[in-house]
Amino acid sequence: MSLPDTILLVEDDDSLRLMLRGVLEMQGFAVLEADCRRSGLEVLGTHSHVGVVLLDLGLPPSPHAPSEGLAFLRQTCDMTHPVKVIVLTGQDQESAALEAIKEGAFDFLVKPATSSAILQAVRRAFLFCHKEREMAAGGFARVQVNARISDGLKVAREEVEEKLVRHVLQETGFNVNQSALRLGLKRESIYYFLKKFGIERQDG
Amino acid sequence: MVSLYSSLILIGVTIMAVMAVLVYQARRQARVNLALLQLNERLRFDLPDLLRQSWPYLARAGVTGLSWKLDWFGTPLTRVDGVVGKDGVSRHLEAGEISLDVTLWHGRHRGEQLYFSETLAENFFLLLHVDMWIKMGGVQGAFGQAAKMELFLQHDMKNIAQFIHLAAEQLEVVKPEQEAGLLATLRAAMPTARVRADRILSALSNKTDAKNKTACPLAGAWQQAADMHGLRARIVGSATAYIAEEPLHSIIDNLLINYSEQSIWNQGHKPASLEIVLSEDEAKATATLSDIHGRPYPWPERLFEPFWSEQSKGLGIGLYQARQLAVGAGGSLEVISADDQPLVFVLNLPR
Repeated sequence: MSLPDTILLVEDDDSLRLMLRGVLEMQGFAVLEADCRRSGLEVLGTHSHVGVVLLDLGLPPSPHAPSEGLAFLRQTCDMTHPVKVIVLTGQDQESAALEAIKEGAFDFLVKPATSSAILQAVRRAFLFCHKEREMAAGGFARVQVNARISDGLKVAREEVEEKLVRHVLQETGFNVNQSALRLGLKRESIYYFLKKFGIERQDG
Repeated sequence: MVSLYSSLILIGVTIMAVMAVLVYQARRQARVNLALLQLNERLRFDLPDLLRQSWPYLARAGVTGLSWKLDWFGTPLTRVDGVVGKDGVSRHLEAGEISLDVTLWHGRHRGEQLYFSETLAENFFLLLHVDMWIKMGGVQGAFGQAAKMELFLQHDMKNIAQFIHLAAEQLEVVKPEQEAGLLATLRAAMPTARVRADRILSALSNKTDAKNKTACPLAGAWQQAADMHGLRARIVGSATAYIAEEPLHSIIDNLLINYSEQSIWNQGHKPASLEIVLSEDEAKATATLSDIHGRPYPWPERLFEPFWSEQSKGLGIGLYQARQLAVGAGGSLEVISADDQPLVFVLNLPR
């Protein structure tokens, strides 16, 4: 029997988190909860079947600034299994939306959002998540890069290289031989990239 | 010979007379400067009032005219006192949304008279500029405080609004078989929503409710906050303070955030490794906080100054607020800054 679609709620307001959980569970989703960036990442690390994250940008220890939520987004985007993050926030719309989109948010909802808007975004995110997981099973990796056109192709290419190398190293548990095999490179090239991008085992 | 003595006496008398005139003028100027300073203080450093009321004092010092054109937060004000002549000293002064063009007129002064006139004008201009900065400092401080309150309310009130929206929508569309589930959700969520609402009201009224005070074990509170900030902390001893949880967490957060931000911004230096020593006596619970990897801090006198921050993104109010909260709870927050030693914060809270 397949698991129900699982959502992670990252929200520091206990009452709102409970309410959102109720709304989502009534629609048949399985829900996990976290109240800060660290616990959210822990849940994602131990529950790889989580497909969608509903994220509040303002999280402790800085609940009045988007920094913690944006850091969570950044770390989520580097994960090997595809996760779609929907930002649901009360932060200043203009700047927070731009930052969240830059960091790879799938959708951006402003509090207070209707439950239908939230559910619509969640269903759309799951659709994309399922398709990306199918792609990943077929050996494809979706890489997102923010490239400034004036920086030229070299910068964008290097960023893609770095993300792919990190991705494959994570997937292989930092096994250089297997990573080289998967990327069709020599082991020396992997070592070259490790040095070039400053990749260390613990940050993978 | 007689003629020589006469000449020497004449020269001496002349020098004394000149000295007497200079001393008289210098004293008169000093009196006017002092009077202007006292007037400014009486007027609570209010620039428009100082401009309006300073003329009699300036006239006493030999100034023949004063004209000024003030742009006071977009409102133009102008005035001329005395006689506008040819020889004037003008200055354009600006600070934030205040700008001033001011000219002091004096007669055809030469020599020492010109010197005294110019000195008086410069002192007067400096006084005006200081008043501008005092006003802008106050305005920026008030805006900073308002911005912080707005941020707080934005976060908490939008959460409350989101909660109410979702609850109302669910009550409208709930199916009979889901009613029990919705009731269970509301029953679980409502108490925390009420706590959140009380917190907003408390912030708006800017009061700490005495009835919320409770015996708080400090070791757990410090450890939890250090974990939240991703800081390594060694806690030695234990103590329990009698304080509401909200201000206690705010004090600890405001203290620790500086260490976590230093870790972020001072890349390349060793990350903070905190030692928190807890102790208590009959009257107070004490927490002594230091970073064993810390470096001496160059501006210890600035630490509790509101709106002073090393970081462009910081409001510079954290430690000020922490001290206010500690004092408000009947305790104190001090910093010890010894030469070549990292800072040591000492937080005393009532038991």
